[in-house]
Amino acid sequence: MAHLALPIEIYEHIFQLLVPSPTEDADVFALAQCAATSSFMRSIATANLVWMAHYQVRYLASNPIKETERIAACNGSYFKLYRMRRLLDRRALDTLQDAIYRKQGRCTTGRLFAYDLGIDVHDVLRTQSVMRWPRNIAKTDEPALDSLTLDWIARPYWAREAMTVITKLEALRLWRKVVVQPQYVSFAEGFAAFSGFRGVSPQQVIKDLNALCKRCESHLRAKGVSLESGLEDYDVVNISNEICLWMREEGFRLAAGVDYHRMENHFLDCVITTHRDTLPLSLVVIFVSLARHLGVEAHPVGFPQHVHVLVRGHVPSTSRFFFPGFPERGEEYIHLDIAKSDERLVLPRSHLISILEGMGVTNSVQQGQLLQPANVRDMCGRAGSNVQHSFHTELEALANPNGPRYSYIRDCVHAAMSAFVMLSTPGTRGATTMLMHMLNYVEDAHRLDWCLMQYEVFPNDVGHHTNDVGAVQVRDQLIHMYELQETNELQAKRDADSMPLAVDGTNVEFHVGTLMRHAKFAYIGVIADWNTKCHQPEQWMREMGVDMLSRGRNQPFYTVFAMDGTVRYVAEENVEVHTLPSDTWGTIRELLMNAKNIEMHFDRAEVGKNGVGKFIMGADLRREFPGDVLLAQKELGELQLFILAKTEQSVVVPPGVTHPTAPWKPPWPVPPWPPIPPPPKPPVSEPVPPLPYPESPWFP
Amino acid sequence: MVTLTTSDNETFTVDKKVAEKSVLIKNMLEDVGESDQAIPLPNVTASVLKKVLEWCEHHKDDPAPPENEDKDDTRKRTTDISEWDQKFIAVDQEMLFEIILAANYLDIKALLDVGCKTVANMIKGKSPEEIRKLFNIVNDFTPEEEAQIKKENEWAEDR
Repeated sequence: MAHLALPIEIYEHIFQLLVPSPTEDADVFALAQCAATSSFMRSIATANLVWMAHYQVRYLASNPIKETERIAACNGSYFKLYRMRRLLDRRALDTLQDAIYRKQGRCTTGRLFAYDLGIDVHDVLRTQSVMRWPRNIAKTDEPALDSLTLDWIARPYWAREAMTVITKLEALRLWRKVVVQPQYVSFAEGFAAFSGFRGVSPQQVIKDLNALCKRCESHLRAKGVSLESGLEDYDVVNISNEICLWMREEGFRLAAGVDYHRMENHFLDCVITTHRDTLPLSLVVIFVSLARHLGVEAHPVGFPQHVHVLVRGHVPSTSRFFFPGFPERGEEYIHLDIAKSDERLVLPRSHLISILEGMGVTNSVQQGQLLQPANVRDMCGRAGSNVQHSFHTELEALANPNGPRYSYIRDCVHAAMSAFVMLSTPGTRGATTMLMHMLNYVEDAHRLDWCLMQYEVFPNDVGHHTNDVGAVQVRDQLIHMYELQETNELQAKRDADSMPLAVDGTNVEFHVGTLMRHAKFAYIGVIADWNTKCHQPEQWMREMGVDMLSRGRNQPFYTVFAMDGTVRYVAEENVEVHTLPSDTWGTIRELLMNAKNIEMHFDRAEVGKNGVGKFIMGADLRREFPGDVLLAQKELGELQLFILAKTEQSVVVPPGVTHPTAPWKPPWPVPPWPPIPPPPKPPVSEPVPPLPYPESPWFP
Repeated sequence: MVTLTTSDNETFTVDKKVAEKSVLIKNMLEDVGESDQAIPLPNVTASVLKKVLEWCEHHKDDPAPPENEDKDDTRKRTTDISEWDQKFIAVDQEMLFEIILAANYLDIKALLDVGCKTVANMIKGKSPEEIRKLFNIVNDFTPEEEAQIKKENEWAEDR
C-alpha cells in the first residue's frame, strides 16, 4: 500500500498525545519504540519537552546528589534520564521480588533498598504498595485484579516495608546529625524525621513545609505587613501575630478532647495535611518554620508542660509590648504562646517566672535555662516522649472498631523508641534498655529493618562501650538474630513426605492457612502456626485451664490470627474448619481488613471450586511447613473464578529435618490476649530441590 | 451556503456553519466577505472532503474550544474519543492519514486530535519494525546502531 508521508508537526502532535502517566506504560513504551525506527523519527521522538512531561509525572522523589550526577551524565536529555530511572525501577522491582520470595536474607534485601536504591525508587515502590483486591471482593472505588497474582496480599506489604526502610534510614541519619552536627539540622528536619517511620520521606515533608512558608509569605505581603527588618514599622510581635492569624485561617489549631491524643498529631506530614487540629509542639514547629522563613529569629522553648516560642527582634518604642527586663540596645526576647495565640499571644517573662516558682524552681540560673531557646535534640526527645504518651491513650481506642490499627500505633512507637535511642547519650543504661525492647520488637514486625539496627542504631548507641554488660548482651542478641535472618538453614515442622504427621510423628490435623472457627467461642481466624503440644509457660497453661480440656496439654495447639485483631493460641479440639461456601471471599476480605499480620505471613488467598478458602503461605512459612503446602493444595482442589498469573516461586523441601526448638519470647508490647510467639523465622542453607508447586495439577 | 471546490474539481455546497468548523475556510470567508464564488481547496480530494464534511456536519453544534486552553486540558479531553468519532475514524489507514492531513490543512483542531489520537493508539504495543511499516519509514540505522538502540530500549518492552 502506498503511504502518505506525514509532516513533522503531525508526528510531534501524535507524540504529544501519548499521555504521561505515573503508572501506565503503554504510551511511554510506544514513544520509546518510535525513537528506535529511524534517525528522522528519533530526532522527533526524543524531544526534551515530551520526555520531561513523562519524567516529571512519574518521578517525584529523588536523591538530590544522585540526581545531579545523573543529569550531568545524560547531558540534560530527559529521554536518557527517564531511561536511567526506569532501569533503576526495574532493579527495585527485582529486589522486591527477592523480598517477597526470600531469595536472599532479609537483611541483605533491606540493605539493598536502604543504601543502594534509596529514595530514588520510592515512587515505583509506591505503585506496588496499593492493595489490589480480587474483582469480586473489591469495592467500586478500589483498584481491582482481574486475574489473581501469586502475591496479591504479600506484594503491597513488602513494598510498604521497602518504602519504610528507605525513609527510616533517612530519619535515623537526620537524628544522628542532630547529635553530631546540630548546627546543620533545623528544628523542622529533626521533627520531620518521625514521618520517616510512616514511610513518608522527611525530605518530602520539608518540601511541603516550604510550600506552606511561601504561601504564608505571599499572604502577609499581600496584606501589607512590613517584613524588611531595617524599616521603621518593622515589628516582630506584629509579624508573629499575623503568622498566627494566618495559621488559624489555614486551620492549624490546638486539638481538643480525644483528638489531642491522636497519634498523627506528632507526625509532621499528617499535621500539614489531615491533622491540622494538633498539639502545641506541632504548632510550634510550624510557627518557627514560618517565622524563620520570613527572617524572624525564632526558637522553641522547652518550658515545662507547655512548649512555647521565643522570638528576637527590635520592637519599636511605640509598640504596646514593652518589657522592662530587656531594654538593651532595643533588642528584646519575647515569649509567645502559639497554641493559645487567639487568647493571648505574648507571655510576659514575669508571668513565666512565677509559674516556675509555683513549680518549685526558684534558682534564677535554672529559671534562665528553662526560658532559653531549646536545642533540636531536646525538642525531638520531647516529641518522642509525647508519642509514648499518646500510645497509652490510643491503646484504649483500639477497642473501637473504627479506631486506629494496632500495627499503625506500633510503628509510631517504634519511631519514638528509635528517637530515644538515637538522641540519648551513647552507652547510657536507658538507651541500652530501650535497644533491648527494640530488638524484641523488630524481630516481630519489620524484617527488612535489620540492616538499620546493624549499621545505624547499634553503633550509635552501644558501639565502643563493650565493658557494659547490657551492651554486650544486646550486641550478642543482635548478632544472633541477624544470623537467623540471613542463614538458609531450614527447620521444617512438617515435611512433604510425612503429612499429615509432624516431624516427630504427631498427627496434626489442620494445616497453616486454614480458615478456622473456634468450636466454643465461634470466632473466625486463620491458622498461622502450630505446635505438636502446648508451648506456653506453665503459668499460662494453669490460668487458661489447659489441663481441663478433654485432650489436655499434649494435643496440637494452633496460633490463630483472629477476626478481632488478636492473636490466639487454640487447642486442636476447639478448631473447626470454617466452611461457608457462599461467602468465602467475603470472609477472606474481612480477615484481611481486621486480623493482624496476615499480609506479613501469607502471599495470597484462594478459593477452590468446592468453596473451601485458604490463605497461601508466604516464603518464610513455606520453608517451615512444606507438608502443609501439599495438604492445602489437596483440600482446595480446582480453583474457583480466577486464573493465576504464573510467576516464579520458591518452595523449599528440607533435606534432613530437625525439630524446631524456638525459645518462647513475648512480643513487645504485650497485647491484651495471651501472648503467642511469632512464627519462628525460617532458616536454611544448602541448596534444596524445589517442590513441584507451580507445576502441580492443582495449579493450572 | 458555501461552495467548496476540491483538487479533483468536484464542488460541495454546505451550510456556512458546517464549513466554518474549518478555521482556514472561516478566515477566508471573513477576508472575502459575502460572495458566491467557490472556495478552492487544492490540497483536498473529493473523497476526503466528503468524509471531513460528514464530521463537520455532526459536530457543527459543538461549542467552540476556549481560546487559551491549558495544554494539560487538551490532553485530558483527547484521551477519550467519543463513540461516534470512533466509528467515523474506523477507516483504512490511507484514508486516516488523508483525513489527518486535510484536518491539518483546513485547521480543524478537534478532528486533527481525533485522527492523531487514533494513530497514537495504533502505535501502542508495536515493535519498531511494525511502526516503520505503519508510517512507511525507511530504517536508516546501521546494523551496529540498531543493535545499540535496541539494547538501550530494553526497558520499554513488556516482560
